[in-house]
This record gives sequence, C-alpha cells and structure tokens, in this order.
Amino acid sequence: MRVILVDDEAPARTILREYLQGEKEIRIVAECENGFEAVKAVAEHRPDLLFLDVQMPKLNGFEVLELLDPQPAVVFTTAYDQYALKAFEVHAIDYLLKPFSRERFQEALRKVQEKGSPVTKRTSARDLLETARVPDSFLDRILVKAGSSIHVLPVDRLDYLEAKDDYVAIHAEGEVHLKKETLGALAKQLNPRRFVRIHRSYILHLDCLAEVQLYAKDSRLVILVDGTKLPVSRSGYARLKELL
Amino acid sequence: MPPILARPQRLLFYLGAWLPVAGLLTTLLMGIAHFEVRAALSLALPQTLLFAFLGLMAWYPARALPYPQTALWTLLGSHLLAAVVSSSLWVACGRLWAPRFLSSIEEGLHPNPFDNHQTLFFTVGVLLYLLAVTLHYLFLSVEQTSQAKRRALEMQIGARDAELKLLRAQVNPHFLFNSLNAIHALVGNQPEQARAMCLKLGEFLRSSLQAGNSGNTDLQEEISLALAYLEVEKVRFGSRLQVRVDLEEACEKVRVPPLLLQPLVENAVLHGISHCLDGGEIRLRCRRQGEMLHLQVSNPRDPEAPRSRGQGLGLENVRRRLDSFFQGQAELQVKPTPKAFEVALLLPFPTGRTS
Repeated sequence: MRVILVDDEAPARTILREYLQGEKEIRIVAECENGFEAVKAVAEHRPDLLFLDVQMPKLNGFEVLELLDPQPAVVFTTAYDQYALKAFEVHAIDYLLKPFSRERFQEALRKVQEKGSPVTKRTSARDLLETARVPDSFLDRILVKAGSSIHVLPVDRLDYLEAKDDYVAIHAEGEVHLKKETLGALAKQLNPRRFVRIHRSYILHLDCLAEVQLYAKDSRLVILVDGTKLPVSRSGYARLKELL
Repeated sequence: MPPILARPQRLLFYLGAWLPVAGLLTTLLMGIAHFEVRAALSLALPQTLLFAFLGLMAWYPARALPYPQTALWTLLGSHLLAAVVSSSLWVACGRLWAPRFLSSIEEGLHPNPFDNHQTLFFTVGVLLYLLAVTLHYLFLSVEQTSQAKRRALEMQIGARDAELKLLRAQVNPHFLFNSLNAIHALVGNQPEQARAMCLKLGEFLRSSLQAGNSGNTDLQEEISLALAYLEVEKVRFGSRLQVRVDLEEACEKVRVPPLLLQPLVENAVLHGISHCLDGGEIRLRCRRQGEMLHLQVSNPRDPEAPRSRGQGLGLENVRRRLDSFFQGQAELQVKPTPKAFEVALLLPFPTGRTS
C-alpha cells in the first residue's frame, strides 16, 4: 500500500512515520507540508491512502480532498475542531483525534485496508465541506484545479457561473475556470443574497449586474457590466426581483 | 417628556387617579356653591382635566430640582411659586369658561363659583399642585432606585465576565492540546526534546497562573511569559515560526496588568503565522518615547485567510484591562494591513512617583 502523509506540523508527521514503521505492506511515498504540495504529490504518485490533516494554512484538508480526482482512501487527522468532528460523525468517516495512540492508529488503518475508506465510496468531499462549514457562513472562495496548479478564486471576483454537463464554468475577471461540480451544489454554498440562480444553468454575481431587459413577451435577460448577456428564467427573475 | 406619557396605559391610569379630585371638586361645588349634581359635574370634570394637565407639567421642575441635592428652601420656594402660578391660571380658566359649561346644562343662571369663591379654589389648587409635585418626586426616587440596582447588576456581570476571560487566557485548551500533541510526537525519537518541552510547558502554565492571580506584573515578566509560549509553539511550527525581540532596558521594570502580552502573541500565531504557508516572524518591540512606552507586536498574515471573530474579542479584553489598570491613560492601537498585522500598546511611563 502506498501512502502519503499530509500535515503542516513536523511533529505530527513524525508520529505517523513512527507508527507506520512496523507496517510491512505500507510504503510512504511522499510527505507534504501543505494542501498545494498534497495535490501535486497525489497526482504524481497515485497513492492508495492519504493521511490528511484538516487544519492547515491556506488549504484545509477538506478543500484538498475536494480537489483530488480520483480520490484515494483518506484517513483524516485533526486536533479538536467541533465542526470537522461534526462532519465526520454525520458522514461516518473515520478520523484520528490528535494525539492518538498506536492502537487507535492501527484500528483506523485496518479499516481502510479491509474495505477502503468510506469517503470515496459514499460521501463526496463537497458534502463533507458542507457539513463541516461553520453554520451561517458561506463560501468565500472557490478552488479550481488546472493541471498541477490550484487556483484560489475569492468569490468577490466571480462574474457568473455556468453549468456545462458535469462541470461548472466559472467566469471570473475575464477568465474561465472549469470545476467538476454541479451548479446546484455550488448554489447551496454561495451567499444567496449576492449570488442569484437566475436560470437553471446560470448563477449571477449581483455586483456584476448592469441591467435587466425584457426582450420577448415573457423572456428576460440580464446584461452584465462587461456586456455579457445571460438568460433569466421566470423563477430566476422572481428571485432577482426580491433582492433588488 | 414626563414618563407618564411614555405609554398610553400609564396616561389612562394617571387620568383615572384624578377622578377622586373630580369628586372632591364636585362635592365642593355642590356643598359650597349649592350646585346640582349635573351642573357640578359639568364644571368639575373639565376643571379636573385642566388640573391634571397642570399637574403633569409639575414633573419638569421636579426633575430639574432633585430632592436631596437641592436646598430645601430653594425647593419649597420654587414649587410654591409654581403652585401659585398654576393655581391662578387654573382659577382664571375656571372663571372664563364656567359660564359656558353651565349654560349648556341648565337654563337658570348660576353664579360663577370661581368668581365668588376664588380664594377657596385658589387654595385648593395650590394644595393639589403641591400634592402632584410630591407624587412626582416619589416616582422619580423609585425610578432611581431601580436604575441603581440595574447598574450594580451590570457591573457585577461585567466583572465576572472579565474574570472568566482572564481565566481563559491563562489556560487555553487548544494550546494545551497542541502542546501535548507535540510532546507526544517528540517522545518517540527525541526524548530529550520532549522533556525540555514538558518543562517549558510547565513553566509557562505556572507563570501564567501566577500572573493571573496577581494584580500586576512587570513588563520583563510579561515578555518572558510570551516567549515561553512561543517556545512551545515553535516545536510544532518548526522553522515557520521565527521570533524577534527588541527590548529597551528602560522598559523592563514598568508595571502592567498581567497576561497583557500573551494574548496578543497568541493571536499573532493563531491568526497570522498559522495561515501563512511559509510562516513568518513575530516581532516584539518595546521602546520609550517621551512620556510613553511603545510596545508593538507585529506579524505577517495571509490576506486571503478568513478573518476570525476571536481575534477581535481578545483585543477587546486587553483594551478593557488596560483602561481599567491605567485609568484611561493607556491606548491600544491596531494597525492592520493586507499582509501584516500590528498591535501597538501605548503605556504611560512611570515618572518616578509610585504608580
């Protein structure tokens, strides 16, 4: 089994290394200090298992998981974080609460070796992120993977989002980024007062709205500040009216 | 505005309370001026209403001349004057409109009681006015008592709150978790380091508890405490946490409230360094500038990191304790920039006299 350790704290990685020393079938192929390194390393080494710390700078464990495609089996490690713990409980994910004993560690390892991590089988990373989110808070940035690099898009810079089959095309400041995600899932996590679902296939960032036009008997469209025109459905228009 | 008018129910109650006075007036009119009931009532009611209004106005002088503070003579004199004026007004009004009220009830001519029995009604008016004034004073004193009680309660809650915050500053559970974890990690193949860390942690906790129990400490101690905290954090951050201390000797002996610096330094780690991919340097600077001591804690931060509320609360706590310790002479300034954060404390420098 090929394993990658991801934790920003050296002592935490040391522990994992120590605990894994006895395991004959396991080989550590990489150690990563942050989420960006982790995404690169997973793409490069294609590990079977990831030990993933949740609390890391810039990119937390859940966000890393979201960017991994395909996803290896994952065991999360965390110092106390009530929201992360809630997500784990809700989705029946196994996790290791720091500091953890060798026995506890081995227990988690066995579970993975026997049936593979539940994360990849039943729960998507997006669901995890959703449950782990601090209540009453909304997404303040969207992460997009492009090849081996990761783009962090603050939601303030978004213009609009468009559904494209399995992907969502995120239009931000003239650029387009593709993210493997459903529009509905993103709509749920964006602040509905600033990001309006104007159409089955479009979410508009309200700040970019220039005007709303009626172009046929019952059809409307919105014109953005940069001139782009997007269709508006009836329910979308109702939502728009409410906010304006 | 008189509190009576604050709520409609109160106004109705107030007016209701004047009904006995209407009754008194009616009796007077019947007894002395020999009126029939209807006539007496038709005059007494509007007159009472007028007096109720005048009585309401008595609230203003009552409030302007609070009882224990104002000299008794001033009090009596002012209210007596007001009573005379009000009663005169009242009687004058009575004289003016009594004929109109009376003629609307009966054909027969009634002599105007306010003309014939001026003195009587005037005296009654003065007494009633003084009664109204007394009632106002009563009301004011009741209100004062309840306000004082509320303020005392608020202060108690405030003190308890500060106590709790101080306790929490002394033993932060997250910090303990992290430290235990780091020690746990070191024990395996770096036992000497693990031991050293246990000692550092113990030292920090002991000093922290001590500082919390005393009313004040000197800046030198505070800096040691902050450094001890940072030593423990360095184990888990490794080279990502750098510390630089720049301390003028003159600053060491200044007395400050306990646990002033450690929360600021903790903030710098939790909200600054921990979000930076490559970490950074926390800088502690202290120098004397004229009459004031400038203490600065600065750290880098990630502009994209989420701003957490905890930081604001911690700063508020420090600010409040500074205010109370230095009686408003100290200042806490926050200088945020997108990529860095600086907290500056300006403390009065002791000028030789015991503080």
